[in-house]
Amino acid sequence: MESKITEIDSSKVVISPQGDIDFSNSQQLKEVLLQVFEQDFKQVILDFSEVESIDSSGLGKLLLFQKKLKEKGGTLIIRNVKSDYIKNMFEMIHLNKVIEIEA
Amino acid sequence: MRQTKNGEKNVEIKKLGNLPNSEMRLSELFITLSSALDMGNFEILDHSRRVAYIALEIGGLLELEAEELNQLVLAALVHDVGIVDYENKAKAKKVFQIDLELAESHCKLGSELIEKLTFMPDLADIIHYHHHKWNGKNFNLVRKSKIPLASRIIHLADRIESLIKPATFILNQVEGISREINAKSGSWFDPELVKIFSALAQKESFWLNLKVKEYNNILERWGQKTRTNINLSDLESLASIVAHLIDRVSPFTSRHSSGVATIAAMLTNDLGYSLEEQRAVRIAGLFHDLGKLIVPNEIIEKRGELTELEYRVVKQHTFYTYTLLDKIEGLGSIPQWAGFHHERLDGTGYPFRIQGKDLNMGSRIMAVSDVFQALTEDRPYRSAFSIAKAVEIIDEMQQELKLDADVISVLKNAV
Repeated sequence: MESKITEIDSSKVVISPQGDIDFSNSQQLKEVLLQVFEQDFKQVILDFSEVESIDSSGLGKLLLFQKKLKEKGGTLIIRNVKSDYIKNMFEMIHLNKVIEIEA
Repeated sequence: MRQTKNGEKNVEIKKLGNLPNSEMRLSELFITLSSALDMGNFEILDHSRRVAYIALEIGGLLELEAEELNQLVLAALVHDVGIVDYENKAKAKKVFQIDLELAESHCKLGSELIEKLTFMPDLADIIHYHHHKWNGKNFNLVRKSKIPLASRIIHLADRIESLIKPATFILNQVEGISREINAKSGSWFDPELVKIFSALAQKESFWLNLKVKEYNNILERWGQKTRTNINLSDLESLASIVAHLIDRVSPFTSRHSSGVATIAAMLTNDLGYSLEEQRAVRIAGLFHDLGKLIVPNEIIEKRGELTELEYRVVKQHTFYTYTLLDKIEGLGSIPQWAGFHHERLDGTGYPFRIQGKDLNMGSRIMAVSDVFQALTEDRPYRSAFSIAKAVEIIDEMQQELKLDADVISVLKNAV
C-alpha cells in the first residue's frame, strides 16, 4: 500500500493512503502514522478518496492513532470518504463519533 | 503447544467460541431490545412488551395477515426507541399530557434509528407515526387513514397501557379506561380501532393477562412464527442501535461501546481468526454494556469514588448483558463474549466468578479490550490514562493472571 504524505504547514499534514487497508498492510500505515506523529503535527488529515475498503485491523489502528494524537492535544480527521461500504462501517460501529469524519 | 504461566495446557481453551446461527426469531431479538428500552433506575418495567401484547390482541381481532401482524408487534416492541432519557420516559407515561414536542422528537429520532435495520424496511415508518392523532394537527399534516394502520394501533395500545395504574385492581379500572379512550375516538384515535378495543375491553382475560404478566407467554408463542434468516450484517445493525442507546446515556461513556467493539475486532483479526469471527466479536462488543442501562445515571456520572452500595449496583450490569442476550436462541457465543467481560482468569471477576478454563478466547479478548478502552477514556473522577500507562496496568493484571497473555501481546504489538 502506498501512502502520499503532503505537509500543509508545520502543524498540519495530509496522508492519502491508496487501495485497501487491511491486515497485510495496516502495519505500513501504522509506520507512516507514527512518522508524522513524531513530527508533532497538531492536525493529521487522512484523505480517503483512494481508499476502497478497510478491515478490522485497519479500523483498530485508526482508533489507536486517534488516542495517541489526542494525548498530545492533536486531532485526526478523515476526509473524502468515497466508499459507501466505509461510510456505513463507520456509522455502524459509531466510529464517526470518535474520529472526525468530514463530509 | 504453549503453556500458560500456571503451567496448564491451554490448547483447548484457545477456542474463540461459536458464530451465531443463520436463523433466529425476530421476536427474541426485538424483546431483548425492548427490555433494554424498559430498563431504568434499578428495575425493568414492561411498558414496551405490554404495548406489544395489546397491539397483538387488536391486530388479531382485525384479522391482519401474519406478515402485517408481525411487523405491528415488532414495531410495538421498540416504539419508544427514540426516547432519550429517564425523565422523558416518565413524561411519556403520563397519558394525554405527553407534550407535542416530545411526541414529535421521539418519533422522528426513533424512526431514524430503526431505519438502520435495513432488513426490516417498513418499521421506521410505523414508529414515525405512532403518536399521530387521527384528526389532529400532526407535525407533517398526515391524518386519518394516511397514517399507517400499525401506527394507529400502537398509538392506541400505548395510551391504553399508560392508563393502567399498577397499584389498583385492574378489573376496577376497565370502566374508567374505556371511558377515557372512547372520549378520544375520532379525535385522537381511529374510531374503527376504538370499536375493536371496546370489544376487547369486555374480555376480563385481556386485562388479567396484563395483570399476571401472561403477556410474556403469549408473546413467546407469537414469536415462534417470526423465525427468519438473519445474517451478521443484520445482527450488527441491531447491535449498533443497542450501542447507541447505551452510549447516549452519558458523555463519559458515549464512545465506549464503539471503542471496545473496534479494539476487540482488531485483536480478533490480529490473532488470526476469520472475517466472520471478527465481525461476530465486534457485534458482541457493541452489545457488551447492554446491562449498563439498569445503572442509574447518577452513578455513571458520579464525580468521585463509588460507595460500596453504588459499586454493587454497577456490578449487576454484566449479569443483565448476559441474561438478556442469552434469551435469544442462536446467538452462538455472543452472550458469553459480551457478558463475561468482567470475569477474570483467576476466578476473581464478576458476576459469574468463572475460572479461566471456562473463558473462551472471545471472552478473553473482550475483557482486555474493555479494560484498555476504559483506561484510555475520561471518567468523571479521573482523566484518561495514556496508552503507555494503560498497557502498563494491563501488564500488571496479566502478571496477576487475570487477563490473557496472548491477547495482551497482540494488543502491545498494535499500539
